[in-house]
Amino acid sequence: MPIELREVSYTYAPGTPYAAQALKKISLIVRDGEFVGIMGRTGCGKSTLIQLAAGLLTPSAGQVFLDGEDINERHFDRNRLRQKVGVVFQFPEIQLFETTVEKDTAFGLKYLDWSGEKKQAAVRRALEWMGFDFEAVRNRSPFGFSGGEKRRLAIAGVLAVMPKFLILDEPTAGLDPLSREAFLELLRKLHQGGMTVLMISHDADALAEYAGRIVILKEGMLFRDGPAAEVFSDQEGLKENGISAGQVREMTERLRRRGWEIPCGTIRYGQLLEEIAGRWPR
Amino acid sequence: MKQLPVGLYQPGSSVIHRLDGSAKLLCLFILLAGVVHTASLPGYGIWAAFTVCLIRLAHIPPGTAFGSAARLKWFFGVILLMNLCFYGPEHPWMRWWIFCPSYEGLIQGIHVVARVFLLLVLSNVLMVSTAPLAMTDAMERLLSPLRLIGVPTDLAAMILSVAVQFIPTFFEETDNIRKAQTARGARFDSPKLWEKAKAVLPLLVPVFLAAFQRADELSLAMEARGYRTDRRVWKKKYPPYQAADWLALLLCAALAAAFIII
Amino acid sequence: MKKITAVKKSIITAVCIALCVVLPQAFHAIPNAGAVYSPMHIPVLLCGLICGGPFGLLCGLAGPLFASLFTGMPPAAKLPPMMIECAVYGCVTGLLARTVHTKSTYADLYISLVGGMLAGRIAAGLAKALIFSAGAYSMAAWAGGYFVTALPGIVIQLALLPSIVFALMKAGLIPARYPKK
Repeated sequence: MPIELREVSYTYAPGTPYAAQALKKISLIVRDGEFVGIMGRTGCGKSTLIQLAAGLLTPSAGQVFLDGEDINERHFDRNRLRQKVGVVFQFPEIQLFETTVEKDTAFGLKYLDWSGEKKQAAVRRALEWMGFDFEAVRNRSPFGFSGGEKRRLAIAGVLAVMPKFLILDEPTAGLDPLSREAFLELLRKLHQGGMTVLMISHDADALAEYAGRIVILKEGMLFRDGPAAEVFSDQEGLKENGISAGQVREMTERLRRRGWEIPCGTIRYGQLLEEIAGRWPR
Repeated sequence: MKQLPVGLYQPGSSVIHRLDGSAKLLCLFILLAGVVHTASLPGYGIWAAFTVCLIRLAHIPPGTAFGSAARLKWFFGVILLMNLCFYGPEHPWMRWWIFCPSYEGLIQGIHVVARVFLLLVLSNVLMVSTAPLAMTDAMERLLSPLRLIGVPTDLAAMILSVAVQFIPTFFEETDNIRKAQTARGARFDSPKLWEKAKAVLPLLVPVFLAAFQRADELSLAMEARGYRTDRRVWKKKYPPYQAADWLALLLCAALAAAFIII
Repeated sequence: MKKITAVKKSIITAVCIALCVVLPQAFHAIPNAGAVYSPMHIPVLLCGLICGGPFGLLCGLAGPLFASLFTGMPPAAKLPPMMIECAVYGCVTGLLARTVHTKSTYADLYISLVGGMLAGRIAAGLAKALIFSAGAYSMAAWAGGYFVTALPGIVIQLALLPSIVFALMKAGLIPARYPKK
């Protein structure tokens, strides 16, 4: 189930003195089972891009296809889009509104023709994924939880519909290191289970570790697009444009400058350890 | 919503734009008093000529100046008809069922329409030529004498200026919430009356929670810094009126006074 | 949670005024929403309920005015009756919320809201009649018609506001009316 953006442009407030073109003729295909990281500086159009992909904005020009169908066609079934594409916004905890955790998590299932048991099972599974004990939290008010817990509750609400495609905007911003680790591991698990993941992040370390492909935007245009190892190997080029390639890549570079022959594409912590360990006699 | 609505205001540098906001607001009130006291058709003609002069002076395109009033044409039509048919039952042209159109009714109808039309266009000129923030300041300034009778106008002024600062933030936040809930499948609408109320809860509850969260944070910070509502910390100094401001006030007052006395 | 302080009441009022500007715009996307929900009334009523009559009054006056200034809606022609309506909403709802204590949060809420909304609609009806009819046709008829056409809006707001109030209480952002001992 690929999502394809074909020559998509987007302009905010068109026809006014405040008009601003956020995206300029972007073409991008995200294939089934990919884990794509999106990077770029503030205002480069990342958020606009994912909102177009999720059908929350309508492009000023160009088309967005889901499974080969134009999602902005009049006849396109929007419900299918909502079920297939889950979106976790920045600070998703603000989207909680129901009186109980169970009802809130089940909100996205409202218009699906699933049986009651199937819905409850989906809610239970989503909450357990996010580390909650379903029986203990189901009847509590979502507003009585701590900030980090609320965020996990909100993400459970997105995961409950079992989207094939998961879009995330800076999901780890403001999480403590342990929660961040746990969340990224969950993403990896979901990805291995067949979910396609598209994640905006400034966290180059996380993307280097988890994403297979990196897309970098600059001033509304594609700046880089390729396998993570390839994109991050050009550390200098990224740095000139204000983008970090991650700590591991930084270390690799320093070691290389000292004459170590480590490939530029060493971007993961595990890889680097292997490289270093391989150089020492047992 | 990266596109903030900007209301009617159109930046400019005309004489009218440069007048002090509170002087302009006072002028408007004076002019309105004059308009309300006008009782003859030639009188309305003079007002119309004056209004056109103002619009030219402020360099406002006619479409903008008359637009909002022109959109009410059906409303004006109804007012005119109602007055025509019901106003003067003493000397009607004819009587039919409850209708009794008369010359007095027609004149009265024209008066009411002319009055409302002028009110709208004049306030429109003010809104188009004055930035929203300048308007807020102007209102605070005009209301500040109420302090003498115990109305806490400085507290009100503080509240209003905080409200203004929150507006752009809330626009963005509301838009984010709307999108997040749409992505979760929310529809915000339902054909049934009771369901209609429930359908907007996914939007309203988070918006209010987020807003009150901010109110909570800001009030805590203000209290921590020692702000108290019973102490006057927010007293503002207003710039004195310039010659142009006084001239405008004098002109408007003279014109209005002429109509009120006649 | 302790009683709400005067500073917090002031800031909540500011927030409600800002929402008077923002909410009607957010409801634009929903078909017919302006007529059905009167989104501007919600923050005004809420401000009255939580902060009391004087703050509710300020919110009711400033809310529509700011909305008109910053967004052009409502247009100047509709502004005065709307300001009167909202001011009475905020004020009466706030006064009732202060005086009515039935030991049930729901009952208090409904009494204050219904009282405020009735008073506001009658006041607005009268104001419109006074401004536009110049005594030519029945004032009572106009006020009555105004009230009847607004009935669905009243029902919807009665369903909405308690949900919002309870959510705010649960989140600990406003104190519970009758705290459990």
